[in-house]
Parts: sequence; structure tokens; C-alpha cells
Amino acid sequence: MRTIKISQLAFLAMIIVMSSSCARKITRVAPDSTIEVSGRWNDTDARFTAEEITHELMNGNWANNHVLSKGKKPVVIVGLIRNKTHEHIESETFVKDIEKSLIGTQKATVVQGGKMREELRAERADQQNNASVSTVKKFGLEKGADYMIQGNINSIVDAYKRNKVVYYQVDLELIDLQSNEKVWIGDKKIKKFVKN
Amino acid sequence: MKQLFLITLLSFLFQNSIGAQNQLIPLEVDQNPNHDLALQSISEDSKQEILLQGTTLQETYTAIDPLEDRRRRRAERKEYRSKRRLWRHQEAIERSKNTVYTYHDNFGFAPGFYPNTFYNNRISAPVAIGLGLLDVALWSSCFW
Repeated sequence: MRTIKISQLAFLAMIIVMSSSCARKITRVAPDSTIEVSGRWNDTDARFTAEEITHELMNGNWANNHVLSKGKKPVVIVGLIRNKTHEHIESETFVKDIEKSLIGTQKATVVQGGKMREELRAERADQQNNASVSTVKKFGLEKGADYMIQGNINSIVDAYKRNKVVYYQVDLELIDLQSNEKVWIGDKKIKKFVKN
Repeated sequence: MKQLFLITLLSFLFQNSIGAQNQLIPLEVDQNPNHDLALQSISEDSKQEILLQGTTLQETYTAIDPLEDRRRRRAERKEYRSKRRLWRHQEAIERSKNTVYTYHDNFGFAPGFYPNTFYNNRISAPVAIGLGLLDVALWSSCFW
């Protein structure tokens, strides 16, 4: 009787130890909360970049100048962003926020580019044969962009023993498609000290 | 002759009509008259550039970081060690498939008849039978 009790207790203790050591704990946190884990580029950096660059873009005079000279809202397209850092960074995480602000504030019209535009054109081509005549969308009526957003992300790493300083610089430029003139430049600089 | 003249005249008229069409689009103020040449030169490979719009081109580099290097080396070593048993097992399988170079004492028998793989056991069946018969004949002659 006594031996059964001891074995049962041992089994119970084993289950408790195993469940406590192997259980994965997941907690939901706010998307704007700052959590640093590895010291690499993370969502907080992307958010700060989006906030600052959007602020600079909205306060620039380029849109007003365009309205004064052309008499209409500027049309913007997002071009290629080059990641020349030592880490994998997707610029879409902050470029989408910039596009959202431009559309939300009605400061500029944003048009689709790249593969997604090709997809739209393919759908339009498909409509020519399959959609009813009254709903068919015509070719040759797309909005041509006045400006293109281009950019670079650079980094500098200085590491010695267990300490590391990482510097990121995100540069975005708005370029006049007719004249190649840079009408606006925005940047965000991030510096991190990582102690291992 | 008459046909040749007609062809020349038609081609001349055709070329003129194309030139006239190009002249229909008036140049902007200060616009370069060679803009068509520029368009032709860029149109050939602009499709690839256009498809990359809105994306991030990853041109990353490897930073000099001793700690990160040490981590990478450690991971490589761990991976190598984890695969070592598998490689040994694969080697053993390969050895069992290939018996040509395994040593086997022939105990004085003629090579090729008994499974002496050290010399050569890759002989055809008739040759093996012939050598076997010869061996038997030689042995039987000794006891005759």
C-alpha cells in the first residue's frame, strides 16, 4: 500500500516537472509595445521609422507646391527600396504606413505599382471577354504618377568582445518623374547599444 | 524596271508617312528631339524594374562581429557532430555494397574460384567453371 502511494507521488511529481518545463507560454501584447529581444531590427524600429518619416512627408511643401503649379493633387507611386544593411529588413512594414497616411490625409493620390499592378491589368484583360459590357473596365485610363518614392536602408556595425553598437539609417526620397528632381528627402536614424 | 520604280516610290511614300506621323506629336518647350531614341533604349529591359516596384531589394552584407562568428562556428560544429553518426552509417552501407577491396584469405585455393575478393572475383561464369575444373584436375593428379 505504501509502495503504491510512493509510486503515485513520483509519477505526479514527474508530470508536474515535465509540464512546467515543456509548456510554452504565450501572452498577447499591444502592437505598439516595445519589446527588445535580440537587438536586431524589429517592429519597434519599423514603427518609429514609419512615424517619423510620415511626419516629415506630411509637413513637407512638395504637395502644396505641386497643387500650386499643376492645380491638382499629386499622384505618388512607391518604387524600389534597397536594404543594404547586415540584416533582413522588409520595408513594406513602414512604407504601407506612409501610403496609408498619404491616402488618409488626402494630401496625395497613391497608385499601385509592381506585380500587383500587373495583376490588376490581368484582371482588366480578363474582364474584356468575361464581364458584362456595362461593367467592363477600359484600358488606357490609369493615373500616371507624378512622383516616385525610392529609398535605401543602411547600417553600420561596431562590435568588440561582448558589446555591439548598431546604427541604422533609413532614407526615403520623393522624386519628380518628369524632371528627376528630388522634391523631398526624409530619414530616420536609429542607434542601438547591445551588451551580450 | 517599271515594277522596281513602283516599289521604290511606294517605300519612299511609306517612310514619309511614318515621319509625318512622328512629327504630329509636337515637342515640348526645350524637349530633346532624340527622346524617341531614349525611349527605345529603356523599353527593352524596363519590365523587370517595373515588377520590383514596392518591394525591398535585399543587398545585405555580413558584419564583422566576433561574438556572432563564434555562435555561427558553434552551430556549424554542432550540426557536423549531429551528422557524423549518419555519415558513418552511410559509409558502412557503402562498404557493404562494395566488397571488391575487402581482404579474404584464400587458404591456398586458386584465385577466382573461391571467394577471394582481394584479387578479383569479378570473372564471368564460364571462366570460373573452367578454373574450377582445372583446379580439381590438378588436385586429383596429385593423388593419382
